[in-house]
Amino acid sequence: MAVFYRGAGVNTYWHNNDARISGFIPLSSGTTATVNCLMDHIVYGTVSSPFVSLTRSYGVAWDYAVNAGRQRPTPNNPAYVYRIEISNPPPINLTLLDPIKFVAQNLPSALDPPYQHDGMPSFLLGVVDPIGNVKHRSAPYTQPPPGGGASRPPNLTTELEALVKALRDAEILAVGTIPASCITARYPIY
Amino acid sequence: MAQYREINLKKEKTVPSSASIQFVKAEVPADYRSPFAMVWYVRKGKEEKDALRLDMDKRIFLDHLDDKEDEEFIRRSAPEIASYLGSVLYATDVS
Repeated sequence: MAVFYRGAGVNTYWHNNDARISGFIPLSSGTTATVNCLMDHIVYGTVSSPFVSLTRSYGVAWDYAVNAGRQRPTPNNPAYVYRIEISNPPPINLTLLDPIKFVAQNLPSALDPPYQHDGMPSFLLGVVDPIGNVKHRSAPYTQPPPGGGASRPPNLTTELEALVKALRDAEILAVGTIPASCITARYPIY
Repeated sequence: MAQYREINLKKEKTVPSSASIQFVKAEVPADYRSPFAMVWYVRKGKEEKDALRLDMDKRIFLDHLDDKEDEEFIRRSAPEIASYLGSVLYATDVS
């Protein structure tokens, strides 16, 4: 059994609707799970996607539940973290994607236009945490000699951002409905 | 219990407002970094009981409003609120 978690903040959909009864259903289950669709889901938070976001990290799910709610969680009205256990092979019509592998398979070759950034090593801190490390993210790239070109922030591709954010959030994406039988617990947190 | 820090949005000039919507305050974790904030607002003169969830990294609200104009307004406002919260919370050094 592989164990995953998913947070649900107070008064959000999966807070008011018990996934232990319905299972987790993606908002747009008919959409094809392409790599562009996956990257948009991770990077831009695209709402109508065929994916259900899961995480391997209880801490990531806890943060989402406690801080991405519509009210503060309290003992009388807690947020929830769902525990999900999925067998190998998974239930029929359910696929689990590791976004790192899925994106990596579709990266350009080393001779194609790069997905890599061209900034300082610390640029990556700004990708992981664009609010807390905004200066690292927006610091101008260092120009190779002879210099003199227009100043700009380093290149940040959707591919790189998706890879970094998926790693940060220990993210796994489910395609299809996660049956209620896979949801083994719903922890109240506040 | 989780501890929150409140940030007043009412008097901040860079935080937009519309005829219908005024943002009041944001709540973020008091003692660690999170990409998320709860943004409280007044709509048509009445304080809403549910906050809007702001993903500060993605600079989007995770929630939607049924009124088309209000929805468009909060979409446009999200990046500016995220930037303001970032400037209040995490003034950082490049060094």
